[in-house]
Amino acid sequence: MLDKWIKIANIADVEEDEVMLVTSGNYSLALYKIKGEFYATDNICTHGNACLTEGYLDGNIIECPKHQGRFNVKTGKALCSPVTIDIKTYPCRLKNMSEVEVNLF
Amino acid sequence: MIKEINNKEVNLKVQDIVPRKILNKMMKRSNTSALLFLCIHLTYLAVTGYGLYLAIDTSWWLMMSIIYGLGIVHLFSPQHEFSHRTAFKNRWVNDFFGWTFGLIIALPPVFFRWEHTDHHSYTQDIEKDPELIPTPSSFLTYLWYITSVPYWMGFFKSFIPHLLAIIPEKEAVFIPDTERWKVIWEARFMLILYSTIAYLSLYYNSTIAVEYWLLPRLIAEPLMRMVRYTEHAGCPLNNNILENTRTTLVSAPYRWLAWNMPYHAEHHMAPSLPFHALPELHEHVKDKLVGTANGFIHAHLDIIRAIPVNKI
Ligand code: FES
Repeated sequence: MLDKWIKIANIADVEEDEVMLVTSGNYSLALYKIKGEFYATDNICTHGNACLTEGYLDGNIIECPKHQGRFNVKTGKALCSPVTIDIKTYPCRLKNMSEVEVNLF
Repeated sequence: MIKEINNKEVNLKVQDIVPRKILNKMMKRSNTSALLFLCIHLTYLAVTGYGLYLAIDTSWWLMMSIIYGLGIVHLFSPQHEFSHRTAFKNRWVNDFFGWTFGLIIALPPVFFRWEHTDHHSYTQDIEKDPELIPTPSSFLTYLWYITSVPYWMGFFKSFIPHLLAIIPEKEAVFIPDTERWKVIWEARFMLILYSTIAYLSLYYNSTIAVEYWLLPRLIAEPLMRMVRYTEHAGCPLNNNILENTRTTLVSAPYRWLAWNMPYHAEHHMAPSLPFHALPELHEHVKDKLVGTANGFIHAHLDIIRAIPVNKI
């Protein structure tokens, strides 16, 4: 399997219980910090053209700002109407305890 | 201040103006704020409703009906907030109150939620904004809108097809297939409910529903139209969040009744932001907003000034 870990943020850039927009090449990702752990998903909702980074993060759940569809940030699972398609998640890891890396493949 | 109408496309987002960290903090939902505003609103209705009860056979009846009706039509403000699901933390609580208030003011909640989403997506887009209230083309059109007759005509134009299981073409673009049955059945449920109330009123020879609900609801609607007019009418027809929506600065008691909705430009910048955070967002963006009105008179003068000169 191809691995492509790339740096997307500094740990200090993201606050606890927050979501941040990060871009890398053609990717637009939502980076979350929940209870000290980092998670990344696609930024664009699977239901329509809305950015999850503009939505409301409640624990593990991100709520889309457009129709309030919800996804589990850790698993990408679509949780309620109108979203039916899961959101893609990306593995994250910390490097040198200062950088956040994400695997895009 | 009215800016020249143009079609300039600007992809400005609120994150370009307010740091995301600050926005995230403001985005936190608060049951306490929602309960507080709910108590204020219900207290207004209880006090003015009692006033209406005392005035019912006197010459004060009409005035009290308007004052009490103002509280009824302003149930639109929390209903709107519930439709965004930003008032309470729990979505089912938002939906429950959204339904309850929607039934009181005859605003079908499921339909409104989908229509309103497109209003946010296409604010002031003359072809796509389903809630666009056009800048009046003449002073007569301005007055005609305030009568609320066009509003009720629009309501029936949508409500009757829904009863007949028809989703008009214009609505099909924003109501997904999976939600259409809900829109149809909510219209039918509303008809059954209102017919039952009418039947019981006739059966028991009771005027309560007419005096404390229907008449105040209808009498005060023109006031709500005047408020709704100020949100976008006369603003530029573009997608610039700093220009296409008007914030109207009003007194605190009115802000409470309207659940901070006069901070309308702020609401359009960040629809996921709960109503209680709008005054704070206003502090961050007020210097950048174009066309903020200092009270409703100012806002209406702006709208009237936007009428083509030869039509006034
Ligand atoms: S666009 Fe995200 S729920 Fe519809």
